[in-house]
Amino acid sequence: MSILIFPVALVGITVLQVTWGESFRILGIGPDLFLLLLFFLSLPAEPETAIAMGFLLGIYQDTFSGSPLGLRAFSFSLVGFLLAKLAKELYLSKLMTQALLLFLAVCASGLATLLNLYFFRLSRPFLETLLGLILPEAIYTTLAGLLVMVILSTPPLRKVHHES
Amino acid sequence: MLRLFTKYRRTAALGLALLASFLLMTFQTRQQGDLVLPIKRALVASITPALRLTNLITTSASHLWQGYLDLRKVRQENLRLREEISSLKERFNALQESALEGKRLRSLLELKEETRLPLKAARVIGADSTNWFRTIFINKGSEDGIGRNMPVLSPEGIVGRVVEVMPRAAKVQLVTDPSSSIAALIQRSRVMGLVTGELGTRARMRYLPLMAEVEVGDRVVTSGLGGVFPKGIPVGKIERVDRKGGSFFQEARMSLSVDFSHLEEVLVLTKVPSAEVRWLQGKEQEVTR
Repeated sequence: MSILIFPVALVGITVLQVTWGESFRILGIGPDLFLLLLFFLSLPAEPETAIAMGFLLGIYQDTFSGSPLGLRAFSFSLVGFLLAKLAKELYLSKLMTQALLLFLAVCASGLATLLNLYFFRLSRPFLETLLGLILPEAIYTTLAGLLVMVILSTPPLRKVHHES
Repeated sequence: MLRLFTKYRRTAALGLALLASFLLMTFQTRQQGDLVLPIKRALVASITPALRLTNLITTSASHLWQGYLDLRKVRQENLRLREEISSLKERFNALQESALEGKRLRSLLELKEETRLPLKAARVIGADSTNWFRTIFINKGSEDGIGRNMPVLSPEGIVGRVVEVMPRAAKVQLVTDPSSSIAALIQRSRVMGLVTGELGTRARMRYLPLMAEVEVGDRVVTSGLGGVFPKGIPVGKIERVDRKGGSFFQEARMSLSVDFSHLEEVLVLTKVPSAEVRWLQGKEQEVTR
């Protein structure tokens, strides 16, 4: 990936989420566009690059949110690393497999965020947050991701597998 | 040493990122936010020009698009009428938009004049980037005299409070944010409680004494305790009262006076008055859009 694409995508996604994020919300829940971008960028990337991208995306999301700086940076670094690592070790060329991975990534990021909130005594009710926030967000983000994959008609890994 | 680093570079990178995130969170939750503020300011500053530019482009594009739509509708008629109607419609749209804006601004001005509060008007320029919190960004910052913890209002009632201030922008924590809590009282029975956010369009009033008189439809206003919000600003109305067995308190679910999905302009209270605020009668029902 060109070194220029990431900063442009980062600024673009921040502007998109901050400016129009509200209009994507259904019953108060919207897709996590930062995580969606991380997913698309991490799969073909090296794990250390994915960690750096995750950290930067997370820190920008934290800046434009009520969360303490570092909350999403923590979960995104972890998720970026896991996505890049899994992409190297699993066979992920099918669209639905990648959608499932995206769903799990959003859930993992949500659980890591919840765990951090517990640790820093900013806790939320577990079951209510899981059912009312993490799962709907994961479903919505996965659907948005599927839509992007269908529109581009290139799941992020197809190119990599062809090349290898 | 170099070989060792190369071998474990992935683990080191992950460890470094997690440690950095963890330290940042620790600094802020231990009330040492000043250490993190320069980083936040730099990150916001790096995006603000793009945000302003997008705002400008979308406003112009929306006007252009509206003009295009109007033109398409009228094309079905003859050429002379199309030109005439198109120009009239464009003018009408522009006038309607400025009339609505004027109505909104007049209601803000009315509030400012009638309550005689030191208020500063600001425009909403962005919303929270996650589903976990409820904050908005306004286009006024420290250069305009905005400071931390200043209450943010609208003609309908309380919006939230300023939690972070940048030179030309500020972050406002909304009443609907789960971390927000406001000391409030029920206007009819003067029973005090604490209003906390619930992410959606509602809030909860907690710690209401078990024997206190609370009824559906009761109006809730700020109590002035806590020092952040002045007394008497509308918060919302009681929608449902929950009395759980074995609990020392009762809770109530409430609808809020302000419609947060249509918030375009707000007022920042730059100095909290010691006396109770006399809010405009019936203003919280009159949603001006």
